[in-house]
Amino acid sequence: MSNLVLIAAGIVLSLVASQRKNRTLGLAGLAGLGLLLIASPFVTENKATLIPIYIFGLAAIGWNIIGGFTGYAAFGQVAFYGLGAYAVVLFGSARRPPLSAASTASINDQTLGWPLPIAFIMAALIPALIALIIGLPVLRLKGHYFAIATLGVALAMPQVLSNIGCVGDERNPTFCVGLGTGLVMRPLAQDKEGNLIQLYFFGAILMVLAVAGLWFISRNKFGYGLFAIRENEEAAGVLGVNATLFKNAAFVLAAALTGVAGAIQAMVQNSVAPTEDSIFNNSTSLYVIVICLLGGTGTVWGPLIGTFIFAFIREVLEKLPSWFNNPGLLEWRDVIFGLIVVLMVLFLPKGVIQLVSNKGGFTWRIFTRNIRENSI
Amino acid sequence: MSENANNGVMLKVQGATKRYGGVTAVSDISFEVGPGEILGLIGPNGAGKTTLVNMITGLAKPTSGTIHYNNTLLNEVPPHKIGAMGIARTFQIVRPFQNLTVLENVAVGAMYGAGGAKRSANQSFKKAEEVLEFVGLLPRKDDQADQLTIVGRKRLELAKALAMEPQLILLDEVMAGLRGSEVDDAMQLIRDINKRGITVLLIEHVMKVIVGVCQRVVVLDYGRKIAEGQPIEVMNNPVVIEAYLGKRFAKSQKQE
Amino acid sequence: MKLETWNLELETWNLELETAYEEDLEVSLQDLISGLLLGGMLGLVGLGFSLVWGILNIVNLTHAPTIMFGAYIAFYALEEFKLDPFLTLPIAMIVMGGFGFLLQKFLINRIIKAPLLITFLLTFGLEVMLINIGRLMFTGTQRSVRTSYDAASFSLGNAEVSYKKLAGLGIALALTYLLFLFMSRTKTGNAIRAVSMDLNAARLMGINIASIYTLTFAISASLAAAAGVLLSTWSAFTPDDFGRYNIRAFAVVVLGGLGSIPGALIGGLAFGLISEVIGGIKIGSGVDAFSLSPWKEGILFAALVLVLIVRPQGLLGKEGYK
Repeated sequence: MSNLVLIAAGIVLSLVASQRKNRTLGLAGLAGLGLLLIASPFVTENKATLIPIYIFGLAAIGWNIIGGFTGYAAFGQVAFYGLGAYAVVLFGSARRPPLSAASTASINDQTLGWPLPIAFIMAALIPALIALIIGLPVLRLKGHYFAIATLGVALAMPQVLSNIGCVGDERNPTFCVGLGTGLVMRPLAQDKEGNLIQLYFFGAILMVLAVAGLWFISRNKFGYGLFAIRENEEAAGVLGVNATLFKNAAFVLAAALTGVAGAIQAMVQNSVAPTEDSIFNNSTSLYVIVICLLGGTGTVWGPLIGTFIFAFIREVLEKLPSWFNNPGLLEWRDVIFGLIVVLMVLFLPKGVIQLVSNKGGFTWRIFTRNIRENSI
Repeated sequence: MSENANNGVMLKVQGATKRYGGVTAVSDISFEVGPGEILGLIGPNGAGKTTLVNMITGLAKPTSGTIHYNNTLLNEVPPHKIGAMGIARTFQIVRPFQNLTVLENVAVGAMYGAGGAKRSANQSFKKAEEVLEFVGLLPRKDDQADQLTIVGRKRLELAKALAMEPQLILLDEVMAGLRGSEVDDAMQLIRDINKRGITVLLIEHVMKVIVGVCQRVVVLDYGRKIAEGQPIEVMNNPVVIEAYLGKRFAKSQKQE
Repeated sequence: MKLETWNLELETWNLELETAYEEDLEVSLQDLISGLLLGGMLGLVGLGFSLVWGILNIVNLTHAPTIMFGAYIAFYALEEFKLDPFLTLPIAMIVMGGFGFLLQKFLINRIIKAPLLITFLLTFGLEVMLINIGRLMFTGTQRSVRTSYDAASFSLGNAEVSYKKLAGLGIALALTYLLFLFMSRTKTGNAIRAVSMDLNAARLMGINIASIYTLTFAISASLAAAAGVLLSTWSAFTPDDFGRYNIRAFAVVVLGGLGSIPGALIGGLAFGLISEVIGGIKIGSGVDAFSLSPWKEGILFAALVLVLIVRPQGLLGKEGYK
């Protein structure tokens, strides 16, 4: 079955599940969504393109905790995405003996070959730890300053990782931790089909758990503490909310989820390197935000809905050239992507979820009202 | 400090001073608030009232001087701990959590205030409903906070503070912007709060409110304390009249 | 950031070991001059960015594509009409000023009251669109703007100074000064400053906020176009080379301080000098020489975050637009 159909079903079902007006319908949507997740890999035309959906979904849910719930617009999530990818390969991939005495510091000299589950735990823990270290100073900044500081961290991260490699002369290094040139994930190199199914379900289950986690957070004290910080940090503090602790916790949680997302991506592509082409593509940071924006930032269902919509848009843009038999259309892909972001921001800044959560039901007036609200 | 040193003193401000760069906003102010009391803190605009409240609630650190609450030094304590210790406040310029409902706004106070540690989220919502009932906002509990009128927002501000179950509440100009009958309602509300055993520090510049509600008054002008005593006594103090109405008026009063 | 510091310490420690054998750290005059020339240009890049951010409270990511359009206007003017880039400069400024005017009036003003995330995303979406439209229009072929005086330079000590780049620095300084005069001497300039200081008071005084925003944005776009024209003469370029100017402009504004015209210039010079000087530092000599060049961006951003935390108002930042 075409992925496009599966993804479209995902959009409809998640929208149905998110609405609160009809409980039975909501539960039906939820059940349908479960069925879709289980059935997809067996009916799809291309498993490999389904997995990225969950990768971005996980990272978007992570961002929603810090950006949507807490109101800190983190624009550098790719830093944690890349760290998670690195961690899973570093800890999980088998070590390769040096090819010859002449080639020291070669690829995979330093990988540890631990069991994969532990490697995945490290892929959550290491980004979380780095997020804590970065967050303590950076979360003291607000607004645009915080946004750009995180962007700066994301730009610096691949540089740090590549320079961490070896100190001193290249041929005869004084000190080496072996991350410099990139790593290859070895155990997954064989039997790609079976691994893809495993990875798919791993990603899908994590995503379901993450949405449940969002739901849980949004309904307990921690979540309300985050909302209060988003709305007015000083007033939240006076009410007794430990803002420093809470926003750091949110940042760390976000980083851990994003790290696991990166780790899954590393498993899919089998290798990591500290470059834009590999896992440090800055667009990733923006995609996770756009996903939340499409669905509805700061809501429980928003990131999931957004994930499906985002996947749909990408799929359509990918297929456009073959539909119209015009390879030139491929070049218009990013222009159209930008246009969609602009139109969303203008007409539906609260996300598609606004269309189903709106009290009076769907009316065209939602669009004009949104634009009037934000215009000068 | 021994137990009896605390007798009759809940909040003790000693020589509190706050400088911003070269500007002294509050200079060497000392006063005490006893448990169960309603103390008024008055002064013209720019007298340093809000700065003082910020220092007590941890939003501003005193440049010098000390602030004690039940014998605990507050100078270095962050705002959220002060809140959990039992001091609540309202803001002169109201700060509702605009995208949350009225009920959720108040529930946050119930979750993290002095009584918050023992409550779950659900229990906090119950507590919030109680408080909303008390301030008369219960019918609007499911509205978004930004849909309230200014009077509603003032009440919401008060409800958030009360939901914290404070021992001491600092009310920063809760009357500003209210009309005649609304002021009377609000005055009654403050008396009711006090009857529940909550100590009140009432920051105002409306004289009528101070005289009507407070047992004792501290007057600030240009960041200094210029008078302290019973409302009627303080209002007839020439220094206070001068601060409020200008020198010339004070002179004409004296000649009479 | 901690990780980085740790790394730096590690490096320094290693360096100390090396320099114990051979002390050869020097900052060359050439690096200083290149830093100054680059810094002036970055100051100009940051100027318009700072203006829009300070007054509209928008981090305007269409700044980079506007610079790109400026550069390509210079390229096509030379290619098609044999027009010297320094003569194209005012034309590009007018054209892109008009572009900024329309963009602001019909798009930015429609979301100006939305929260930060939304405004940021709007300009991000526009950036993606414009850069990719640039790719389609101008293709990915490397272009360069070559003039007869390209190589002309004079010697200063053991350093070479290019006339073309020096002229660029002069224009950057002149435009900064003109903007400063406009803001402090004219009625409109004062209105813009009033808006940045107190929006409500300005509104009560009868200032039309929407049109002030539009004007500010147009000025910013024409300054970006000027930077694009000047930068086009420096080295060959493709549309992909311009995205980085947003983050640079941001760095300049943070270093210099939001809301300060001289601050943009100082921030630009600081950025230019730091990056050229760090890039040029070599410790040791020959094949064993250790270069800080790969750490350039890391160090710059560490410095940036440090400035943000220690002095959020920047080196020269003040309240309101000066």
